[in-house]
Amino acid sequence: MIKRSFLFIALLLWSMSKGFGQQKFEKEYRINSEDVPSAAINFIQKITDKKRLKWVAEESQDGKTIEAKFYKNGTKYSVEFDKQGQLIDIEILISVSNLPASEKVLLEKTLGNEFAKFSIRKIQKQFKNITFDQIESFFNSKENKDFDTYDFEVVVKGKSKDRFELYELLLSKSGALLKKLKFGPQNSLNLQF
Amino acid sequence: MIRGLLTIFILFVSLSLSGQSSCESGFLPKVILSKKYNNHIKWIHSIESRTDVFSDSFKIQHHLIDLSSILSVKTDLYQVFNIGYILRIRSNTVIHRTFQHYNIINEFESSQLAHRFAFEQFFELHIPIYFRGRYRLHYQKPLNGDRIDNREFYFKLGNEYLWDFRSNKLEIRLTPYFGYQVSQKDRIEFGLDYRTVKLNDNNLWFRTTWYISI
Repeated sequence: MIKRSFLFIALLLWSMSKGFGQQKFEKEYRINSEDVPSAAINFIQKITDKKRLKWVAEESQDGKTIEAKFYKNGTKYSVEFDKQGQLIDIEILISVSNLPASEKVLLEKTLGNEFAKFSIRKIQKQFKNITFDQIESFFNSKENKDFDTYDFEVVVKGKSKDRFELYELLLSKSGALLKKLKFGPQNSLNLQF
Repeated sequence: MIRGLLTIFILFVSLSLSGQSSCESGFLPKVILSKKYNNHIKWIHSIESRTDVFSDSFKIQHHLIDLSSILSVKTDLYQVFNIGYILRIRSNTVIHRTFQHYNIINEFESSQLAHRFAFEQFFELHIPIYFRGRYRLHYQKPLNGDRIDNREFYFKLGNEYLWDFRSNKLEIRLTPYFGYQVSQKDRIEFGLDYRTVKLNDNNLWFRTTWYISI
């Protein structure tokens, strides 16, 4: 029994370490609306104007998804669907200066624990497990009130050990680290020579 | 937007060429080979040739060849210092050039902007050393998605200003290119390289560059 528990804990720790130290793989490419599942199209048509919409397929370590990217009232939204057109999440691009002070403190505390130095390059609020009625009222009401639960997807230039690297982190509203992926800047050889 | 930039380029070149006093054009094929030693250091070699197609009259002839070797040091995630040497062989003339570049790259949501500040020293037999200062701006945008992935095309626009301290003349270059990311290790670019000095000495080159990482 003790042996089994030890093995289970060892496996758990190993899988956690793998999860927190992964390299980010992501490939995005534009797709036509004809290649988008009808469920996703119907969903999007109810919340935004079709003219300013970009459909993108995204392949990552989590599989293939389809995203609708659009601006509404000056804010950038990404609505992510699975291959069948079922909603996965909604991401809203925000600026650090617009974060409530309490949330900013929690995020910076977690990032401070992870990195010796850091700068936030991009931050998005990520909404999951929300009903269609909630979403429709969010997009179509004038108040644009936040949902109660959300996470933050943060892109950080962070220094751990002796050098800076780029990371994508998923943090809960309370600042708990849920996911950490490392990735590199784009190849810039052709911009230098 | 890309269509608009190309239209501006064509108009600019047409206007410049219409009031020309001299004009040269041809091909500039180039191969750049880069080897990464660690996260900070790369060693880069390149070979570039110039073939004239038009120089006062139509005539295809090999003009020169440039061989270069560059040590590239990454000083930050988005800043690179390059120090290098170019050997230019033109007919019976050999020109040695040393240079220092400082590159600052800005990555945005779906585009990149790169600044390059350069200083060059020229060494020729029987001619005193002379210098050139350069500043170049490059804008790059994928034609598909937010990042340039394998087997995807992108657009790159460059604008460079070169000051020759010997002749006290400013040269301006405008370079619209299309690129194709073949794989993680190589990409190909093709496009135009327009160069002008005081708008009456004009060169228009068709350039192709193959970037290879090993």
